[in-house]
Amino acid sequence: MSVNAETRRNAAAAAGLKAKQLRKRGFMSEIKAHWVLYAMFLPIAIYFIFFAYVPMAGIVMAFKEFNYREGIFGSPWNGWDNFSYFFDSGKAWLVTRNTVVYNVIFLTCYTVFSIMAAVFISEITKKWFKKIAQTMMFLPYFISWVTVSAFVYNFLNYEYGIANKLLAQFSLAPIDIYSNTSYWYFLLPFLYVWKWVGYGSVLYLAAIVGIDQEVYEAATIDGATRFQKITKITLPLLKPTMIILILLGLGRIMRGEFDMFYQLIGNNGTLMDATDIIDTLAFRSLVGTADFGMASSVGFYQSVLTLIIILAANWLVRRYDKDQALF
Amino acid sequence: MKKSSILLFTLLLSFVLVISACGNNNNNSAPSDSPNASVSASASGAASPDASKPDNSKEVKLVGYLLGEAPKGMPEVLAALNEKFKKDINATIELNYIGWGDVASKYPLVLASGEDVDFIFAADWNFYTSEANKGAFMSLDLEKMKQLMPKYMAKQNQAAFTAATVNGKLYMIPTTTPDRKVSVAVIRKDIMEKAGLAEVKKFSELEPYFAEIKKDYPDMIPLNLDSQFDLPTPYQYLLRDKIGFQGAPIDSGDPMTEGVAYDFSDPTGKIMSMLEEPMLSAQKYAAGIMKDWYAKGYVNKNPYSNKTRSKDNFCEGKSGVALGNSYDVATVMSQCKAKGIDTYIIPSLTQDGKAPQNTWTNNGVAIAANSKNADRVMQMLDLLMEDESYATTAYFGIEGKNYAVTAEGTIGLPEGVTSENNTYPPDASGFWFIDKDFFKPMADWTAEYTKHHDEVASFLTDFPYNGFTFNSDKVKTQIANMKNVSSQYASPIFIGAIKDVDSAFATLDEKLKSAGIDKVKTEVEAQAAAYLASKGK
Repeated sequence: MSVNAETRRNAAAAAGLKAKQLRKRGFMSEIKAHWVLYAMFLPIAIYFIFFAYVPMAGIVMAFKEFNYREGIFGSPWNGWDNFSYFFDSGKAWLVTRNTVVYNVIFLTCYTVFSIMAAVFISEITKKWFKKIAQTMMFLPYFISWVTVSAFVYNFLNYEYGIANKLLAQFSLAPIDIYSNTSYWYFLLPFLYVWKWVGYGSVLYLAAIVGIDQEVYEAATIDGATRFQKITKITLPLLKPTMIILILLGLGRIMRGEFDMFYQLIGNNGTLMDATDIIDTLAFRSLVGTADFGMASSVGFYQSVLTLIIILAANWLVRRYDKDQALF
Repeated sequence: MKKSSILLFTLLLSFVLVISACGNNNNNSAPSDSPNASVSASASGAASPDASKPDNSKEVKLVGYLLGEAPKGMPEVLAALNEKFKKDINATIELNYIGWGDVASKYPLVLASGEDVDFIFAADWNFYTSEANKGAFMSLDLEKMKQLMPKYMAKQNQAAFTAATVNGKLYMIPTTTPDRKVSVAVIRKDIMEKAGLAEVKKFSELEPYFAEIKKDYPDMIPLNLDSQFDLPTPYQYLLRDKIGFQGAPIDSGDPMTEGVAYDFSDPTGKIMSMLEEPMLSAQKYAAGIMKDWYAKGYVNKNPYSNKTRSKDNFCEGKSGVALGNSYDVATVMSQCKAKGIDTYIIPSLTQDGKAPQNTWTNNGVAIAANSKNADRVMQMLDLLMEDESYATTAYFGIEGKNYAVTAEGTIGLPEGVTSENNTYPPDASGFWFIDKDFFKPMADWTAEYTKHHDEVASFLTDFPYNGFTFNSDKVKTQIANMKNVSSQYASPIFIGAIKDVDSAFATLDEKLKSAGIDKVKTEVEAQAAAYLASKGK
């Protein structure tokens, strides 16, 4: 590892030196020298400029009394008025907390289970079983939450649910899942992991495949067991991937799976204190009102919090290990 | 090896970035631009030399949006209509539908997106005032309408235009035949007899009916409510035992929300919060019955997640009651009849047998602010709404294929077509704003329904605020919060999923107060008083 880090640092230093030289020679010659690489970068740059940076200007809607006639930029300003409903609702803190807590749980479960699945899959030697296992795990990724909510409703509803019909077979009392918050603390992370673990494991599996096989061979010759190889080689080498994926995951932490909460819980008043997140609160309050300014204000609030979280997390990573920070 | 792994990882990373970027950009919709261009275009059109005959030399396609879902036979019916339109006004129409589940989010979006929209269904219960305030619709000039829509203007009552006026401008072409309908519940006669009920006047008398279902029909839920329409409906029916509640609070117009309301049978039109007397004791009465029914298992436990309306699985024997209105239950009753199930209809009326009159603006059509063919749209609508052949085709489909006129002068089905396989069932197409006076009675109406149809007009009563629309701009923050509070604290009351009636209302009261219901009430009172004053003149 230390040798690796050393060479990487050297390479970085060399690159820095080269960049300095290039800067002297100007931007155009840099382009000329590496035009193929820049050409490859171009499409993604255009994509981000048009679909991520240009629309950002729309953030001004959060501070405007929007109407169609004058459009986004022509509408009159109204200061912080659009934000008032959110903070006056008395639920701003509750939903922010719910959003963060749920997403931290989701992210943790997702990371742990994805790594576990990736390690297990990589250890499976039977190729056909490996393929089947991976496909089965990936399948839920393609099912939309709308469909999942129909599944869940048919499994768990009180009158016709499969679960309750089964319980009835054993002469047990039916359980009313849709009016009891405690089940959902488990169900929501479970469904989240069920849906995303296949996708996550592919990312980690790709990283595992990239690990130099010679390291494993050397370990085998030294008499390492399978378990030792996993804990001493695979997991440490997965750390950079893990950190980057977690940092990226933090970027979504204030958004939190609106589809999932909205489809599974909907307007269920009984469950609301336990399952209300920022997005569902905003949707519920504003659906039908179609006030774009007020809706944007929530987006603005989420974006600012996300920015703070990402900066903080990145700062922590930098302090701990400079090489693995995003920026 | 190392190099390739870095490369792989970079690729992976960019992939993840793309994916996450996709996920974050859904909220940004393009703004609409140049809404005024069309106005000037139409103005120049009117200034053409021959003012009495509109210039239709250029063929145009008019794009319209209706609510609901296109019936299967729509393409054929549309082709038939377009053939006539092409001949009469050198135009064709293209129809899009906004599904019921998406109306709240998609309707404003269609208007906001600057997409090609010429005409769109509009109604006071479907954001008419708020969209008109936002400038989504084109304001209409009566003089111009007289010129382009002669048949319509001849038939329409002046009161309709007054009712449709928002901030001094007219944005809607209201129907000439406002609905004559009341809220109803349909039940099964066979179960009624078993339960020993000969006649049911009120919804609250259904207790023995529900008990009978619970006892002998294990697969049927007495009240199998869906998450949208049915959820507050039984509760509202019970409310009418005590008070003339119109169906939704004035401020938000959302039946799922508690807010500021009035008793429609009260001639003074006193405005009250729904948590003030006499509304509060009426609410407690209704909540007590719902709580009892919920505890006895008469209500499905999870209506929030159920997307099927009770009227849609009533004939299948999944729900003991079908909830709807005088119009949409006609099909339910004839479908049940086809299955051999006799039905009974209970209108939801106040103690003295009254129901609020339907407003002029409860069905209409508006022209989008950025439509480039407003003149042609008006001509098209004149034909569609007030020409018998157009109206009948739009509403009933193609003669001989979707409907046939029987010897008694009623509208029936052609040979070999049943109400199940009819590709164009009446009323399903979403053209609710056309002139319904052209329509003959339906042959498949059950005797029960025909009786209801004939007596419905006698239930309807005018009320002080008929035609009043509330402008919520000043209190939209409070209304947003009241909606939010209601979905958490009022909707369990509606279905009866509460432990204690008094404490449930105490909590709701406290939460609504802090959401600002008092401020909303003051605003409603001010606007309502201004409305009554203007009406008195």
